[in-house]
Amino acid sequence: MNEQPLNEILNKIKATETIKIYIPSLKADLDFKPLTLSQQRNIIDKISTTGYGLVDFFVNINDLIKLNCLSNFNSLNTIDRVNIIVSYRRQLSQQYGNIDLQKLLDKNKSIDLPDLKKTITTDRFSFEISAPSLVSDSKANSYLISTYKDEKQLLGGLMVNEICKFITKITVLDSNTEIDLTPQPSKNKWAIIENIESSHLKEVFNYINDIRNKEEEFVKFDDDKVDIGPELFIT
Amino acid sequence: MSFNFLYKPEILGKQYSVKEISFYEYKNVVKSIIETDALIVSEVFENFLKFLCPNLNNVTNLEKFLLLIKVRTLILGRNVEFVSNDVKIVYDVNNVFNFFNKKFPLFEYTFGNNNFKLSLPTTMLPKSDNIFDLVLDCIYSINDEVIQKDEKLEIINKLPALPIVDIYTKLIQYYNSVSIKIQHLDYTLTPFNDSFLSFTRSIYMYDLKNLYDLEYSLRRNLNLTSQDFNSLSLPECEIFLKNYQKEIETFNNQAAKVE
Repeated sequence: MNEQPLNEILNKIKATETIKIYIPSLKADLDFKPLTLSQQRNIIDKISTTGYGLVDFFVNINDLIKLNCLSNFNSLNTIDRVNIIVSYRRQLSQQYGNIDLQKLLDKNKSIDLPDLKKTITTDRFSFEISAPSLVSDSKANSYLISTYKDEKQLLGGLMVNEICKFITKITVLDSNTEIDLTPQPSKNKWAIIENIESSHLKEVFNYINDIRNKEEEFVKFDDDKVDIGPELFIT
Repeated sequence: MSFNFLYKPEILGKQYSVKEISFYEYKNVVKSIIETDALIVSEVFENFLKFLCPNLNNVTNLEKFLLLIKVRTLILGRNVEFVSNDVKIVYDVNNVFNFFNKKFPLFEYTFGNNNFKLSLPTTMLPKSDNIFDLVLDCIYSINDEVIQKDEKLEIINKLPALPIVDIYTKLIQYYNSVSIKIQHLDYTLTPFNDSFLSFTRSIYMYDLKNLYDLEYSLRRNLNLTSQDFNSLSLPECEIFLKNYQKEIETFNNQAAKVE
């Protein structure tokens, strides 16, 4: 063995240039850069047992996906994210407990998605809702982490945060006033949502549950389930 | 002409050039390792090694450990005294040296298209609480290209993610035989925890009071100066003192005969 300049060594490391990951919302494969050792390390280094752990993990994963996705990042949503995470985990090892991750990924290609956009109308409001994009998910989660330092407050905050991620537009029917929430800073979104009576949000909650349940389908295989979180990348 | 004595021990089939340590330098090491914080003690020995062998590069903690044992035997001899359960035990540190001073093939792991060779940890205090850092520290070569320590951070940006737990488990299993239990002390030496560091610290410890007494005697009776202590080793200082004591004894005996 002889010592060589770093660049030559780097060239000899045989990293796969791109990997293809199935994106459920597009029903197509997209090219991604493979997960690097430093990205894996960043995920593992941020393992936390606090309530923020998983929220923080999703912020980091969204950043990582943005960095590694070679096209169409803005169109990706939280359902796609689950399949991306499982695909990256598959890169490390095909087995997760009893689950053959390749079989899980193959199975995921046949899952039908619910409507990713929907309008819900109550007697006072009309809500345009959609499965959250990774951009809006990160924005909302970052606001949550920076605003709610106290874990006890975090639980209540999580609920409002979920609604903020899903509602894109509100129309007040009495006055026919349209409020586009997408460009609003998170602080304003929260203030608007918190002023709406819960009874009007019942259907919105049902839709959120539908989407979250659909996300769960992407990690289930027979009676087993992949736990999504930073620990997934310690194998 | 300036000429510094270099000691050339052979460790794991490789020859090292080691500077001779002066009385002062040794005294400073002893003062520094009175500290019990493992991190600080490890820094002391890492810096000491840099001083002893300025060209030391890409070596494992086993090589460092063996070097430090060799240097210790030069300064204080091969025997070390331990007290265990109120019993004084004299132990020959060369037993440890001879046990570990054997070459062994490196652990190999192939993942994807890359072949990794992993050696032992490189630091006197291995990062055993973080398996990621430990595995990274142990990577010796990738596809037969030797990786230098300062290149590792850049390389992990390029390397694909790895099954770290699997590598770590197999690495520990593979090097399981590179450990020795000192029966009398019920103490196991292994490269994967702080045992090398603790053992090194204990064999380098020396009663500071004795060092000060020795320095005082030599200054008082032989007029040795600070410069002398900076160039003479501890064994040389002890020889000087012994010779002086012999001279005094001979002188006293002769004086007694005359009387």
